[in-house]
Amino acid sequence: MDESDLAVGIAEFKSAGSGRLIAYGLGSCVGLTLYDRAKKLGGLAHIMLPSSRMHAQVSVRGKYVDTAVESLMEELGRQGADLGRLEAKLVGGANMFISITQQAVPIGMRNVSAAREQLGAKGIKIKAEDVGGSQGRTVFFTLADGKIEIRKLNQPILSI
Amino acid sequence: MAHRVMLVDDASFMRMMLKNILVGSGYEVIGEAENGAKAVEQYKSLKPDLVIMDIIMPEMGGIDAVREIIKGNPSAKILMCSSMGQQSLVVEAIQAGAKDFIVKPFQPSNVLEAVKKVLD
Amino acid sequence: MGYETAKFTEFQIDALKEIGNIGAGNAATALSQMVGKRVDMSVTKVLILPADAIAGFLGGIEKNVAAVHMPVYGEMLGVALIFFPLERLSELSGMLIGKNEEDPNHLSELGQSAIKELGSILTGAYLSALFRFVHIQLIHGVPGLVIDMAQAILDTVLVELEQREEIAIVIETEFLEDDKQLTGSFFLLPEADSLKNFFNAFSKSLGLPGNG
Repeated sequence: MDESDLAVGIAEFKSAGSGRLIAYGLGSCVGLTLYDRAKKLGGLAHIMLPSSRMHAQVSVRGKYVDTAVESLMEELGRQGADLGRLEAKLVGGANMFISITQQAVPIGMRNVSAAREQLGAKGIKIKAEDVGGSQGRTVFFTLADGKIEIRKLNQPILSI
Repeated sequence: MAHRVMLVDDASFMRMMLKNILVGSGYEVIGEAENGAKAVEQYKSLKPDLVIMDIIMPEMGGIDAVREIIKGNPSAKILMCSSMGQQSLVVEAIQAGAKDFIVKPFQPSNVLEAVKKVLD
Repeated sequence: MGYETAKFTEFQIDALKEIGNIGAGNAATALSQMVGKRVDMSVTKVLILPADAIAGFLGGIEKNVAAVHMPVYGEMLGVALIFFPLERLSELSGMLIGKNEEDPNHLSELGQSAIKELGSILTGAYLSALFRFVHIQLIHGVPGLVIDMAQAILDTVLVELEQREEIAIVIETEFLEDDKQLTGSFFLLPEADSLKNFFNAFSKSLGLPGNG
């Protein structure tokens, strides 16, 4: 990791206009990127859970898909991004733990579904996805060109 | 004639260990199940002399399986298997109708002693 | 919601160390019985780690590790994990099932089952030591085996617990068999409200007023 890299930890979201945004070790979390290609402005959210609905007060906006998307869009808007021009990519939402407490749809995929729904509601197109499966992912988001690179155990780097 | 035993545990490794101990002492392992639901099903057709049953399993656990089997076969002989630290569940299993228990990991001598006691 | 790890006083940490020793003793006995050889142990570390230090403790955010994980329930909710060094996994599996793994990078089904059972039994050893001290009913559920980046495993555990801030009670044990040595790390991550109960029960058993 070099100086122009910014790590986005669990339940965080960050924006940048240069360098790279990185989410390490996405398990069932979903990594959601938003990119304004013309301004080369983008953001990455490392989201834990599908919905803040059950919570009256949300202090950690990045924790839930709905609040994270809203807050990230607000932040990008403040920095001059054209919200109508944003392109999204989704990474993560793996099902790594196969346990008896499994609901019908594992939490990883529920995060992904919620992300697709939220983005759809905001009119943002999802340009690419690498989601599901049973492996963790590290995602690198390069602001200069919007490139997304994904690293998984024992796999070559994937670009989407 | 050898006593017919059914093994129930979600870990194939545990079933293998038990099988080796039992077969080595002249018992016959006539069936294996990986969860309580399959155990209840198989019991109906196999009618073993003894069931060795794990407590924590996916789908249906050992305690529920004991209840189901005892319901249809009040004289069923079931020996519970537990890990250290699961003893409170063993009590529940015995209240549900299990006869005794053994603790993992097994000492072959303890297993054989417990099996002999239940079958006598 | 922040966890002040400093809430564990030195006195309580000492008590945890005692629990760690008892647990590891149980664990070594269990391991001896499983591999059919005498295994000695020494507890090298007992500590409380905040979530963001866990991956570093395991060797790094992207370090590939092997863990047996299982839910903990009863009077305390949480997740328990036993981490084994990945490079020793097939050797450990071979010892348990009594024959060498054909492909060290891909454990046989029987080998995976054996490792999961080992993890489950070791967890029982540590949890029952905890129970003797704090008298909280703790049950561990069906184990799973995961091999992946340390941070990805932690990420998934935090999502299961639905909390981003967490602490782990860590007991690192060195197992010695002949001249071979293996380090296993037991982690217990309690769910938020359970942690409060745990503190209170812990304090009570040490004869101190509960301090939540």
